[in-house]
Formats: sequence, C-alpha cells, structure tokens
Amino acid sequence: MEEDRMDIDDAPKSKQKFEVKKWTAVAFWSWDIQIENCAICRNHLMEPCIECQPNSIANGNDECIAAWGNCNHAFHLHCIKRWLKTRNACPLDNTEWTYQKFGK
Amino acid sequence: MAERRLFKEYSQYQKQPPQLNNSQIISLKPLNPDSNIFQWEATIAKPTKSDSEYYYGGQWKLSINVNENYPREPPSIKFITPIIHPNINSNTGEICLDILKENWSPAWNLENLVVAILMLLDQPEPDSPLNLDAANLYRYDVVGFESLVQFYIWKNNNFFNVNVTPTSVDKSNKLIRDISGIKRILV
Repeated sequence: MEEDRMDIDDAPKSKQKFEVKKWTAVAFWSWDIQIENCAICRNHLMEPCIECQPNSIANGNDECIAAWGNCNHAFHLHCIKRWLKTRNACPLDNTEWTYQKFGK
Repeated sequence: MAERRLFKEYSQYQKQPPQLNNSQIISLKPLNPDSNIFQWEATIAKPTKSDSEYYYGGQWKLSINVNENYPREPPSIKFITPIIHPNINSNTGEICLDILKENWSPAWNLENLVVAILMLLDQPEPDSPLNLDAANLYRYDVVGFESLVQFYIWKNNNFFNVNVTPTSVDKSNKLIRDISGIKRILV
C-alpha cells in the first residue's frame, strides 16, 4: 500500500513519453442466425426476398419477413409459403414443415 | 421469381465456374443469356477410366429447360447426345432421376442437378429402368454393358475433347510437323 501511494505521488514528476491524441475503436459483427441466405431465392434473410426486392427500394418493405420451421431452417415467409403449396416439407432436410417463429 | 433466380445463378457460375468445382463438368450456361435465361445447355464428360468404369472417354450434351415456376418446380433436363444407360431413354434422352421429379427441392440449383446426373451415370438403378435392354445387360453382363456403352460413344463420335478449339488444332499440327522433322517457324 505504501509503495502504491508512492507511485501515484511520483507519477506527475516523471516526464511523459507520449500522450494519446486520438482513440479509434473497431468493432466486428455478424448476423446472429445460423443460415444467412434463403435457400429458395438465395437472397439474404435480412433483406427482402427476390420478389420483393425491386419494390422494397422505393417502399421500404417491412412485410417481407423470415420464417423458421421446427427444424430450425429459415427462409423468407414469401418463399417458403409458395413452396409448401407443392410439398409440405423443408427444402433443406425434407422433414415435415411446421412453423416455429417469424421475424426479422 | 424464376427469371431473377436464374440470373443470380448465372452470375454465380461466372464468378465461380462449375468446371472448377467438378472436372467432369465441361460447361454450364444459358444458350442465349441476353434474350432467354430459361434455356440452358451443359456439357459433361467422363475423361478417364478413373472417372467412370463404363462411360470413360465420353462427352455428352444436356439440354436444360427451366419453366416459370422454377425453383418451385424442377427444370426438365434431357440428353441431347445419345447414350446407353438403364435410367435414360435412348430415343428421347429423358432421365429417370428422383430429384428431377418427386424429390425435387427448391434448395437445389442447376449445378447440383448436373452433378447428380454425373453420379447417376456410374450408379444406375436397374430396378426403375427407362431402357429395359440396358438395365438387363447391366444386371446380367457388365462386360457386355461396358462394351455397348463404349460402342455408342464410338458410333456417335462423342469422345471427350473431340471438339478441339482452334488453338489446340494448331498445337497438334505443330506436334506432327515437329515429329516428322520439318522445321517450322513458330508463330
């Protein structure tokens, strides 16, 4: 404890070798989901599906959301809805499709 | 949807050519990308015996016809080059492959299908034949089957690399002349 206090007291006396002029922080990030692209239309799940894409630039489309099945595979709701009319199975693992959740 | 996804696949194949992923794919592209993205053509080959026990040395063209409902519905793929195979109709070139029919999934793309057809060549399913004679021959006389397959490649002259490009013609000319001892100025 004695020594610690000494250090603090001594610090201002010694000449500073450098000073921080600018501090730039860098952050890395990625989407917090397993599959990034919709396997049906190949667009990113955080973006509108390939059908909504041309309109979304003008309208700011919020209706084009992603949908998860019980198998944990995600597609655009528009894309999976259209496919399920043909066959009620997940395009990726062929198991019976049940909706688990929706969202962005 | 179909059109936009096909353009997406086309630009993907230009960035990462299928022939780099699989040496048995010679080409995969739309016939007229500027006017019609629905008509594609692929060239596949089994260059050596290590590529295929029966089909070695052969090269075949496939026509790929995509419809408006792609990728909800599979494209229709046919052999243009005649081929002897238990699961391929020898007159129409029609292919019997589950993923081209009831087991199709919209997660597949055209490259996946071409790879699946390449695998079908070496793993025939004689129990669901489109060419009954070929299926029986394959089942009971594999050596005879191999001979027939090879005879067809010879008969239709669809050998691998038979369509040599002008540069390789030049090269082979050069080679012959060099062997015969005639000196040529190389251009």
